Amino acid sequence: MEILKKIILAIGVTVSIYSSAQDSRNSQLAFSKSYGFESKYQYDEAIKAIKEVYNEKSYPINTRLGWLCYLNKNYTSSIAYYQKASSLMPAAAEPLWAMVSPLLAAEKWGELEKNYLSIVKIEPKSTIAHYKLGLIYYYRKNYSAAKKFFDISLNLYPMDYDSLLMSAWTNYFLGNKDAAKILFNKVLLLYISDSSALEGLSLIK
Amino acid sequence: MNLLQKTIVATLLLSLNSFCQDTKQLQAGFAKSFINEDKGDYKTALLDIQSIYSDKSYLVNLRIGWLNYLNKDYTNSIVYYKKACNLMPTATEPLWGLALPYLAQEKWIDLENTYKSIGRFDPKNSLVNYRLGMIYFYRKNYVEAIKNFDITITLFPLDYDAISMSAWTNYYLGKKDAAEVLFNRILLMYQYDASAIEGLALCQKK
Repeated sequence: MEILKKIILAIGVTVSIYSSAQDSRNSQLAFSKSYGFESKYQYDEAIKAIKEVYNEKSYPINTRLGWLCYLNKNYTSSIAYYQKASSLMPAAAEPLWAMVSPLLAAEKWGELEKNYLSIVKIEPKSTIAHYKLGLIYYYRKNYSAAKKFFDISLNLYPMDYDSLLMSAWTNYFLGNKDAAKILFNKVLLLYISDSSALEGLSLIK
Repeated sequence: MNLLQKTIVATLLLSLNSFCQDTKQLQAGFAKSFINEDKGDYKTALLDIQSIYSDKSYLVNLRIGWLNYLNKDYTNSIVYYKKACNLMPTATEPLWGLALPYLAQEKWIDLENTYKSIGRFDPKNSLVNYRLGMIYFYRKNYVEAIKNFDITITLFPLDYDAISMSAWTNYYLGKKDAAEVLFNRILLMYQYDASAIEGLALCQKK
């Protein structure tokens, strides 16, 4: 009986290792095929190649499908796959950054804002996410909220052109003209003929 | 308006004029310096900025740190980047700048400390954690390395460099199952990745 158990166990382990190795090889082949199609802009074929080995529990597969659906301009599916990837790896910023592209392409501003807010929860000092949130609020003319985000970005990178310029305009619209003037002048240190900074300064004068 | 008021107004106007003049000089100095930097003439670019030097200006010190780095004067580059760090103690920008001359001089301890300072401000920064992981990996301090690589790989599970280094670190820590999973993940991205194939072969050796 003991010998039988050992034999069954050995067969089981061998089959499972073989099957797992086989799965890995199949996935690798599918990814490789899909890269080939992607490089030829054959996105439907690239998606098909991955779907043949689809596993809803696989983060790389869902992320790859998110990307390929985005390239194929199927933004709804792209977002759905990225969301699956995100729920499989909830501490990862990667699928959230990836989701920015289809949300932007589909002009889903409310969801884009929520997505960036999710990113800053994971990466609380991400200068790009803070800058982008600042931009969203700026274009909504919510200058108080915009300033909070630009301030974080500018605090980490005081010489960043985009943050300096947007922060300058935000301060201008908030009526903080002294602060705006300093910031516009800093922009001119980087680009002496910057038309936006010159315009801002002329409005203050 | 009495005499005192007139004096105050005149002083303010003079001071405003001086501020505008200083700002214009700074902007002209930076503009000249950028042109010379573009030409590869770092010494003149430095002179352009040094002619308007102010030890209280973050931007001036940061720029001199950068230009000294380009000019391969790493000692001075470090001095100016440190001044910029002191002027903006909550900024990571000058610390990233400071890392450059340390790297060029192969001052690994100073580089490690600089990255750790960045990590204190920005503990979830994937790049700084990857770089710290690399420093510990090359010191064969795999226990420390894995802590940093884990942070990067948690944030960016498909980052090739982080997966590859994490796989090797797990392998050297004797965690062959984890290493195998990671090596296989690399092969999803690069089917013929030589390092991952080598790692897998080592993991599968009994």
